[in-house]
Amino acid sequence: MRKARVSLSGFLVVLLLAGFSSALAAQGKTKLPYEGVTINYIGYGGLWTKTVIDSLAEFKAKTGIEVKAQQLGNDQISQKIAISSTAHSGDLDVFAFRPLQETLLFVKNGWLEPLDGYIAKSPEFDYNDFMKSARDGSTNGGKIFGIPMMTEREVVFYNKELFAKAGIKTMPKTMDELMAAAEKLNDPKKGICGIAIRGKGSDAVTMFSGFLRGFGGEFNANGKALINTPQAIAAFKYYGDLLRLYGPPGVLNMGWAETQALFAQGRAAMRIDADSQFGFSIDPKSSLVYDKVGYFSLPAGPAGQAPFNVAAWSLGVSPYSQNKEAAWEFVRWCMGKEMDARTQASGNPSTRSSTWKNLEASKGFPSELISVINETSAVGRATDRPSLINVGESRTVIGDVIVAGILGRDVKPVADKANAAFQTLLDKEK
Amino acid sequence: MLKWIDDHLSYFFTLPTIILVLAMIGFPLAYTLTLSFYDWGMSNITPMRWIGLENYRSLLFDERFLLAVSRTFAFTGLALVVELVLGVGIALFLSRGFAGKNLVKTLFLLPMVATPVAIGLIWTLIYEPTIGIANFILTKLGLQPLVWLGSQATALPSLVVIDIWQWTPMIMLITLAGITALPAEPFESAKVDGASPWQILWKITIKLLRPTIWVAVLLRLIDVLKTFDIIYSTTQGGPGYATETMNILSFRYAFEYFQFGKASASLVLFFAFVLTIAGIFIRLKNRYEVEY
Repeated sequence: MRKARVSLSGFLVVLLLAGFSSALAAQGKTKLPYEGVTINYIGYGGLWTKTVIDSLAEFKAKTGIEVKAQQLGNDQISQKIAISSTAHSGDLDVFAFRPLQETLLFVKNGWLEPLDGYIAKSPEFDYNDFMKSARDGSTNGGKIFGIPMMTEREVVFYNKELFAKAGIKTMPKTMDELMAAAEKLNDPKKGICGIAIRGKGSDAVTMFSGFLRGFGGEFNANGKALINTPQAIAAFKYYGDLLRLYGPPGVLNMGWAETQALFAQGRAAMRIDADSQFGFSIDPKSSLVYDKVGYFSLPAGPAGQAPFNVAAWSLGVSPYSQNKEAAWEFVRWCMGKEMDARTQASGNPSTRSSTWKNLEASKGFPSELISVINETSAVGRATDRPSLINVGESRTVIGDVIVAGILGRDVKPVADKANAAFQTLLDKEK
Repeated sequence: MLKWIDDHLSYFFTLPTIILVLAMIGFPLAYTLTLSFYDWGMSNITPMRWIGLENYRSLLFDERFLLAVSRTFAFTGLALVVELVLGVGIALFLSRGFAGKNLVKTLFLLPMVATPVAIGLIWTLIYEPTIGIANFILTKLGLQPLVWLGSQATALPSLVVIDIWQWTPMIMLITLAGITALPAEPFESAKVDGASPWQILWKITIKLLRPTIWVAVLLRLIDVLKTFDIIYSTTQGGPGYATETMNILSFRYAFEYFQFGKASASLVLFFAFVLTIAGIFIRLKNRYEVEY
């Protein structure tokens, strides 16, 4: 007991001294505008996040704001935003959200702070420098609800070594050529699949969009569900055949992370997903094929080439934040021109026009990928999923048909049923 | 006044517990029940809308929900039977003294104390069709490799295997405790009367153990019905809907589609199911209980 008392008083003395000395130190400096303010940020784990987290000390030195950053999976981010916002909780200040999936829903639910006022106060932020299609995705009813963080395009990654072994010299330009190449490259005995694309129903919807439109289909238009048109059925069949015949085993459980792992291990000859993920496959630390990666743009279907070119993530501010000014300060800093060039240099495809003109900032991108990006941007579509409020449930419904295609079932009846369910969802929002 | 407090002291001492139970169990239950009659998309702007029993009606006519119910029962039945047989078998085996018995007992307990999500992630790797160890073993044994969690036919049974691996030890542990507490006399007299080891096992050990086994089964039953973590961390209900149990479906209604009313209705139904089954079990237990 005595011993405990001695050590406790010792502890108190240390505490006093520490407080005294930090008070002295503080006197010597000028006070920063947001000294002592802490804000919370949640976002996805990507190159953007990594670069920003690595630079947070700089931000603190400049403003005094301490940013607590958390990286979560896509669904977990939405869940966290939903729970914190519904509870009117101030524990969330800035977050990343998926504008194409969530802007309508979040605005309807009042989970996003309009940013117009803050933007007007920050002319050097140059909001109009962001690409128009990217800006539009985070705007609703004439108000700005988010700052677009990154663009993404649907491209094909391929393994140069496996292509050379199979004797494929010209890259597939049409869907038929893609199927033929996948067949040639497929080597299940060696554990290598011809092509890996997402097969997990709702996850696959965005990648499927490039196929659907390449075959002349569309998810919905003018309030009508269109996923059982002959064009859509042809696309479901093609996507299903491609993955059933030449895809990896277990493809029905695969999202982007799983196909990425297969490709990086040299177990997939081709992989279709967003170009923003290129960093993982060319990093010697995470990839066995880092020096063998090539890129080509999504082949054309009967109706032409239709890969997506979208702004996948935006940065938003919570209306329940206790420190909105500091939160905006963080957005202004990490989405400002200087940091944007830095995140692009680390491999994050920017949404600012000025950054793409900055040669220094584009150095991190393989030149081969840049030409594929330019090709894709020219023909790209601005959305990669159905447009409605309840995107989540519509993706599940469409995912059913994708799964049926991969299983080799008769797609038509499944598509008819899904189309009716999708129509019900659309009608509810009228 | 003081005397009154003194007379009713027992209430005062239990009050904190009662308040805690009401706040932590009663309130969420009542709130869920209320929500189940509303249409609410978690919006802070659009208010909740009273729709009566509509959520229940749409669920009970929804094929997806009904399939989820049958899947929940299939998963529970399969897991429970195997766990029961294996658990009691291992307990009987371990009840005989042998060298290293405690070491074996400890090893068996390890899966039970591991974190379910970590277990889910590790089994995802084990089941990985191309590089996982499960297929490595199958091919070494000269068998055809399986896609395990990746096929609609094998995903649910594969999950049952994980549950068995993790929870058989619990049945074993409870049964083992029961065996230790058994009286010695019936065994002695059976031996004197010349009963064979099989007769002793079936007619005496198992019969005397019945109350213990019932308890183990009841506890496990409620837990298997509720299984969420290993499914969510491996397949999240897929491929397609192949492993979508009632819990997973409710979760998706709530946090993927943000339909809190429907999610609540589905959970209320689930709660009613669990309560009914547990009730039936307890009645059965009372009926078959033997005195000794």
